[in-house]
Amino acid sequence: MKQSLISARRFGLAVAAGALMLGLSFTGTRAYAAEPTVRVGVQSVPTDAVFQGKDWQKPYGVQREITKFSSGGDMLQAFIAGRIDMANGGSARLVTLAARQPKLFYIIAVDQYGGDRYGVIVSKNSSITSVEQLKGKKIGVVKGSGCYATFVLYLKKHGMSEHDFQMVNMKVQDIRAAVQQGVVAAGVAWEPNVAIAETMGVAKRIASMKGISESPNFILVRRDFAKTHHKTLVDYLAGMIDMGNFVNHDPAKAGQLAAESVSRTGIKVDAKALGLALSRVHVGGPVTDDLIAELGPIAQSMKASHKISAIPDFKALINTSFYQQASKLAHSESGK
Amino acid sequence: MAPILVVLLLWEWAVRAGLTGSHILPAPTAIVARGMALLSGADHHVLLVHTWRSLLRASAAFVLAVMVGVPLGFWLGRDERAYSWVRPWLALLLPLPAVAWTPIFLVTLGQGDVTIVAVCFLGAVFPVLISTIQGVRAIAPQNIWVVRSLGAGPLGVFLRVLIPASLPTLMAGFKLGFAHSWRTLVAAEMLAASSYGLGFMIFAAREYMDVRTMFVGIVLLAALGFAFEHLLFGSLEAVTVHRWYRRGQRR
Repeated sequence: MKQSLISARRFGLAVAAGALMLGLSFTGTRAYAAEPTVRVGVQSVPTDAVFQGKDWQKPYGVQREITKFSSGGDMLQAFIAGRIDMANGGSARLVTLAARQPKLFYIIAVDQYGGDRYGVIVSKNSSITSVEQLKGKKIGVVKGSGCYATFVLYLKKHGMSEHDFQMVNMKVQDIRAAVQQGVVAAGVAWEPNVAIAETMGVAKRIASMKGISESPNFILVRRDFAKTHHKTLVDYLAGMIDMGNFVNHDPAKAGQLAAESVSRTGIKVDAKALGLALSRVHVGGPVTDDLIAELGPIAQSMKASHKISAIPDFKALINTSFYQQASKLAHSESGK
Repeated sequence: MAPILVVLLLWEWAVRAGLTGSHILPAPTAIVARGMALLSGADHHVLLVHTWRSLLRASAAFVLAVMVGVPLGFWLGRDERAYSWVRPWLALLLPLPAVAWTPIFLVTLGQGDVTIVAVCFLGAVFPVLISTIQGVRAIAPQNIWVVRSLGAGPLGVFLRVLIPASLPTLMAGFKLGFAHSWRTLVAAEMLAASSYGLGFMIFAAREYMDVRTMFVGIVLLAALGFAFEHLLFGSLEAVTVHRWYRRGQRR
């Protein structure tokens, strides 16, 4: 019995020691910064991989605290909760945020835009060469996404409607496999999914949404942060302008940087695919009336379906002063 | 091991024969090669970092679950009135998958380790708690009476009767608790991790269609789960339950 008691005590001590070690391991990973810090949310997209691949804000003396989110919804939740100072958003999510929390944030710049980043893919061996030939067939789509909304506009422009096809709702990451396996005849996806499938040699792009809509994604900042960190924000945006110029000027090189950034977490992705994806996107720029106007029809449709009670005043959310000052400060077009 | 080897060989053959696309289901040898690459210096030993972070989170959640579940379980197992109050809550919360709490923790605690550990803790604590309660409640009162009659106080009863007698059920609870913590970890890391972890790696690989890396993560999760179940808890059982009970039987 005595031996048993000793063993039991040793076991208890081992558990306590383990708990202490684990606690120390977690606390040991924290770091504290002296420079002004901006807490930014990112996702697993090529533009955010370029952002993470190089410290674009370093020349301007701004430190970044980057949090990666699994979805745009999670990022905006953290933005609302005040866990990050800056986020990016567009389409229905931005309209919802603008309708519910208009005094929370400013739209200060464009993150990315371009209809060319949405494409229709078919299997590499498919004889289909146009969207018209897909009538009556199954198409893999992500319903509720900006990509799908743009595709519906594309159909209307070409005298078709979504009812001419069998739309199958799925995750964007599953569209390539579904097309490859013949589960659907085609898929509508955004970059880099289209470019990766093409570069893998398993799918080909038969149409892009270029010219249909720009579907902009904007850079958002919390108003409380903007009020107290004016200079930091201008400096931060100057770095973003450098990054945008770099991507737009040399997407292949930006793809290389993005692939290197992604590979640091153990993920293998073809730099050519990311370069191709980035060549279909326009990164950065000032907020223009045309780009903001694209939110109008989305808001109207959301009001009609009672998702929001009133159409937000988007112009009241725009603050271009930060971008104007930052563009004077930014000093590089190649990002070097 | 033979059934596993046969399936692996068939799988390898199916991919090499072109019966399935390697971009959908990579061959086992390709998965091993990718795993080796991720372990090598060329990829900054990143697989070790992912694995370490996952182990740290699952272990922290499990240790917390033991620290909460075991004392609470002993109390509820001994106090009939308290147990009758708590039992409906346990019945309500037990079937709820821990990962369902993730969105709530994401809002309240934010992205990162705290949320992941909290979700895994909820996955682990109920099996530990319920096994402890069952183990204590199954002890015959006569055993306690005998030790008390020999002059033992509450601590003596706890150390000489309650712990040894409930240990087999306690061990079963630990095994289940860790298994639940490990399973919950993947989903929690997919949603709440911002940099490292096997769940994060699988999710990020999926984003970029890196199927081989996804499979490396899946295989590693299975292998580590197996190792914990059979090596860690098996050894722990050998030095506690089996040893003590064998000694008891010899007497």
